[in-house]
Amino acid sequence: MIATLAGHDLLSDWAYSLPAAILVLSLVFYPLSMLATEVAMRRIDGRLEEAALIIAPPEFVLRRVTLPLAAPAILAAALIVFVLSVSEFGVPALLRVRVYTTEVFTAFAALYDFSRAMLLALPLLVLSFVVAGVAVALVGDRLVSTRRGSATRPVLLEHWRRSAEAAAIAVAAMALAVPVVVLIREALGAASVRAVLEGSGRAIANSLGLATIGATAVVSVAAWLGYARARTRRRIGQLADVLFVVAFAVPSTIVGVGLIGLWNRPGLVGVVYGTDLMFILGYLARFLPVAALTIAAATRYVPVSQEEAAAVSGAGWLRTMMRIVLPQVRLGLLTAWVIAFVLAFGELGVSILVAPPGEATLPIRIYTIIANTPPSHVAALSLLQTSVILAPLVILAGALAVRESR
Amino acid sequence: MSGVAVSARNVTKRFATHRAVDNVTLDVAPSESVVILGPSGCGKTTLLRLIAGLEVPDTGEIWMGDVQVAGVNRSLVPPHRRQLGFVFQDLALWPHLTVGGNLQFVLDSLRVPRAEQSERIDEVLRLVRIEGFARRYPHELSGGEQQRVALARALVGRPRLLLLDEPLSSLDAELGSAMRGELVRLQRALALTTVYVTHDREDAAVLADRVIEMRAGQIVRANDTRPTEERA
Repeated sequence: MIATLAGHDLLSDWAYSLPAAILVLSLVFYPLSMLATEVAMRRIDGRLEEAALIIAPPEFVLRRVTLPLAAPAILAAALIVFVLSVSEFGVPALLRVRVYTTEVFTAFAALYDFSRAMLLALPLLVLSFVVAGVAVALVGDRLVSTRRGSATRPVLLEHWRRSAEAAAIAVAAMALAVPVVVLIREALGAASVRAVLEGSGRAIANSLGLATIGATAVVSVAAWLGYARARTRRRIGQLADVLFVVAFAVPSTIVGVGLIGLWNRPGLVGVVYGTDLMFILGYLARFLPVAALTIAAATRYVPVSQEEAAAVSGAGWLRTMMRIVLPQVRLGLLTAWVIAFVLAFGELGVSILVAPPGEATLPIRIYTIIANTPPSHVAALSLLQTSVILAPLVILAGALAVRESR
Repeated sequence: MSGVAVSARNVTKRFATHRAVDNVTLDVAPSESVVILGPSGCGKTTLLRLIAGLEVPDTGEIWMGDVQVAGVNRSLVPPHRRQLGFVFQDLALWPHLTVGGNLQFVLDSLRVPRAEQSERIDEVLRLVRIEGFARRYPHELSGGEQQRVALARALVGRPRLLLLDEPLSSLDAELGSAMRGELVRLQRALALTTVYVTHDREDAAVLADRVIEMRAGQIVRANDTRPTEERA
């Protein structure tokens, strides 16, 4: 990106390096930590800051009141981002940086050594468990939370509103606007749209169809898991949160290897293997946890007494769910669907392992052609992938904005 | 058990750290209005929830008429089959449904024919004096109006037992006084077996044929507040 903006390849070696991978992963996972911080800040009662501002300057209040209150959530997000980064395969692979997950992938895909792949995966699994346990211990039930918070807004933000807005715009520009501009500039060099789509049309169609079906499948299952989590008692709920975080943090290559081990066998089970259903199973394995947590957060805002009122009014459980609970969490369901769709559309680590022969999704296509195809073609396909992902996000942002304004 | 509308026999309910209801026995006669009075944490709401089937007893039995509805650690008849009306303390109106929608949900659940529903909805809205409110949403109503909607929803299914959990606690003094009178009027007009839970002695004095006082999960006193000639 930087090399292209500068108009020469002076930094191209740097672009394929560990620092570059760190930079890219920072930008990729920045929204997670930003959203966690936002939720933590919204939960702070502004009156606590006001009480401190009467006797201390804003900088002091920030350091001694605001940040300590938000620290557990920020730290929990940092730990989750850490384990997601350690487990990441796609970005290091594209930037040709050899990391631990590369070893897992190589052990299976290149050496066909299933046992070695699973042995290599064990430390990552243990790390995921430990980190998830610590993160859940830090934030407790607040892992299942929404953007709604205290009735009074944090006060200090009012003092630094302009600086904060400028910083947010700068990060958004760095993480989104600049890469998109670079992609557009690069893509304009392509010979024609037809040349770009030739050979990639099927991959594009696969990605759209599979991501849509996958997101729908994920939400269909996650709705019930999320409801169960929202209505579960504290200790069991926290254990469930740990399992959800671990499941989400498990490296995609491990999930892929596991799915192959499970389904690639003779008999009825083997009928599934080698079909597009393997993609859907991969999406379920990877994205069910985050969808369930999202829906659980929305369900928590439906008081239990409303379900009880339905029960004593003569409604059975299913009618109560369909007519009372689900209609009130529809924005949560939409959010979960969009998250699952975006993640599924860009998923590489599982897909590249379980893809049936001759089948590919757009990320797989980009990964396999990047070394031998003009950059303009790769940029055009990447731009297409970005556009498809942005569309539902914009719709969701609009829906959330409407909800917030009420 | 004949001659008794609802009966709790030696019922105990434990939560993690304490006994919320401790070996309670209570009979309520048909058409009787009973108030369970006590301070916060005395177990009165838990007892109400046990009768409704929203909790199951750790010991004892609960009967409705001649039918046992709950035994030790089990519900024999689920809440939606006990023919109850329940007014929750937080009202629990469904915010995404209109007033009419809240009532229609009850009638749909009871499989009342659509042709009959409109008439029953109008009837109960007249009964609680909020005619014309069917198309409004709960958030568009005042506290007192929401209270009436909650009551209408509890009555529209023509229950054989009405349970109310602190029905007046969220109302101001003037509104609470007006609603007390309304509740007494409705209970007598419908001759409905009613069990209220409250911490307010004034409410208890007005609403009850009989006041049951609870402390620390146990019944400590029972007073029949009706005139002597009306007592059984």
